[in-house]
Amino acid sequence: MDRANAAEWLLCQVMSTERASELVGDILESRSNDRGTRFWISIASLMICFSWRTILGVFLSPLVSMSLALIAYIFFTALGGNSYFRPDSTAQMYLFGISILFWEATVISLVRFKFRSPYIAVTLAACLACTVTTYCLFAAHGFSIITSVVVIFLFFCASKRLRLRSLGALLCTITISWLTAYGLSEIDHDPRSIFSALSGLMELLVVPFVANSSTSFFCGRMLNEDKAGN
Amino acid sequence: VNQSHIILQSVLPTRPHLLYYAVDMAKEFFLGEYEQIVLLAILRLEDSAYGVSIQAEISSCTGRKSTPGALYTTLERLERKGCIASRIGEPTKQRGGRAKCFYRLTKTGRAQLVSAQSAFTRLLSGLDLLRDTNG
Repeated sequence: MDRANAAEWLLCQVMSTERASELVGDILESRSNDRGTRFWISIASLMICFSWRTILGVFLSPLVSMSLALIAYIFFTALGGNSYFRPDSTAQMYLFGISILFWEATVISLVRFKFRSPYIAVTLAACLACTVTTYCLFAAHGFSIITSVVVIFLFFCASKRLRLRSLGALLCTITISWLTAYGLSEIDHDPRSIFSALSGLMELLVVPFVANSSTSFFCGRMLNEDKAGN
Repeated sequence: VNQSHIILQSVLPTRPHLLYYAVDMAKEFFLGEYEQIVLLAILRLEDSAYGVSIQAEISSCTGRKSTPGALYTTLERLERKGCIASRIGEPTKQRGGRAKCFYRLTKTGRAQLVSAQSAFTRLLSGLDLLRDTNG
């Protein structure tokens, strides 16, 4: 693979194929006499310019999602005492984890695709619904009302073609993230093992990273494809 | 028709969401300084405006050296806003068999540019800045 093809492949990771081909062609034309270093500096600067939002989102979203989960916990605990949050409930802990992932997806989408992205409508609806459901799971009558609202809200968000694709991207992200989390939890349960001591830390670091990377990958691809199709 | 609604319709293929309308109504769309420079360069180059020629035109007219990152992100943003449209040209050997992408101003882009330049002209009127500088 020559340097132009390698550069085009790299640029394809952060933009559409047509755009990557155009940019490499322009750089080859304008820097035909330059040595390799200048060419690669141009490619690197283009990659940074086109992907800094994604990079920022990957690092920012775990922090924001954890903070929001903590705020929600404080709010609902103050509202309903211990009756609203039971850490021993497996269902509630799963919902809690999923809501964190949805918050991460929302933050990364806000940074990457800005507010007008249809993806935001889906993730924002999903994370709000999931967080409220997590904390109101054991509230009397609350759950049935919330479930109906959630179903209507998600149906509304997914009723448009773009949003349906976004929902698909979101489900792919969640599936990959939970498979990663499950895989990590199955590595070793021996308390004397060094893997056991590290597994908790790895889950905290690896799962958000996988969630964020897959979010940006799937959504970027799906929204780009849709844009190209129009 | 509100300018922002035209842009919104170009971004969203289906009927816009109420949420987007609410956000969009509160947000007015203005061209930045560099965006105006790029649009003027495209206008000057007419049918031969593509990345390299736009960069050269900006450099020769303003003395400002555009980095590829700044130029291409601006071009992409302007295309997303509906200010410019692109078409693919013929591949050339000099470009490693890759095609050029030619840009042209759309009606929206022209209207935005006229609006921005009119604002500048109104602000400059009565100031005689050019005479002061030359004198």
